[in-house]
Amino acid sequence: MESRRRVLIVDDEPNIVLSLEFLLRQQGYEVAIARDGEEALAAAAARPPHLVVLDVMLPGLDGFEVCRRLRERAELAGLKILLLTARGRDVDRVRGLEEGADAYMSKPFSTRELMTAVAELLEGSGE
Amino acid sequence: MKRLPRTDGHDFEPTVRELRGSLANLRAASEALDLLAPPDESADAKSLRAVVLAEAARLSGIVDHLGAALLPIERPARGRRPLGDLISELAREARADLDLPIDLGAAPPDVPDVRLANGAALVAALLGALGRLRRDFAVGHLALRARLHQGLVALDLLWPASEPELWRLRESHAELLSGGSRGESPLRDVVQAMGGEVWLTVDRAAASAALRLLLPPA
Repeated sequence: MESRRRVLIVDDEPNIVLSLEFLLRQQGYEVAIARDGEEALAAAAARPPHLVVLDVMLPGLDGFEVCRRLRERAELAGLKILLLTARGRDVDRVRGLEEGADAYMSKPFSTRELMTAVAELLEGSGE
Repeated sequence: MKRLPRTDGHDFEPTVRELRGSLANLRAASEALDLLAPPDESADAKSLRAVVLAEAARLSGIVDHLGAALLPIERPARGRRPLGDLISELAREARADLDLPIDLGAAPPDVPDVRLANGAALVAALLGALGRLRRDFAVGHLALRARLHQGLVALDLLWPASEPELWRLRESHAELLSGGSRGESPLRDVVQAMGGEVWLTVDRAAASAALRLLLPPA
């Protein structure tokens, strides 16, 4: 029986991926990594995650576009999406969560807050 | 007289974003390292780790403050600006910077002042959009009309446009409002951060187009 929650981290910054992957695994999540938007869409199709931690600033497809495309997929209906933003011009768009994200965090965030947000988002999602 | 290129807070946006990203990486790594600390860690090591964590948190506050100071779009809406002042400044700068005259007409007496986070940022963003209109659509003059619209202050910047130009405007309106190359402020972001809205309207029957700003009254 599969019970571990799967989290997909989408970020092209290896330094933050390393830390987030460690912290999420410490919390007992199964973690997958994608370094750009195309890789994220492929990873989500191959093994649907329960939650995606999605950076807005990505090479190629940006996080907003990845979010929109994930939301178009019927098989990912229960997916939770947490956007990571460096604010600036993202701020109003993200605040409106126009692309269908469930929550966002602005960099530099506290990883404790991020872990709490992940846990809260997954609490409400069914298997 | 040749003028130097306009500089505004948005020029700092890439730097502030970079700072935010780098600090997020540093903070996440230091907080992850904290979990890896062995139970028999020396008091010195524990103290030094606490310094790293505290300084990362402190730097986060500094970067937030810096962003709010440098980037108008990160500031909460506040302040009050007489509408007449805003319009006069826009007209003066458009004529001086862009050689683009604006017919101001007469603002109706019941139009209130507007609430702005940063009037200079709005004028800069508007000039960026008007500069594109001047350059890419050969707009030679504008008329400005102010009125109250559903509780908001509506400012229309109107110009005559032929049918093909209207279609071209429709196609490029997103770029026009979001700002283009470096130095052109994203008008939509600036206006939305102030609690307002902006859109491009075209009137085929009247063969005219308008940049419409809806701003909250003070």
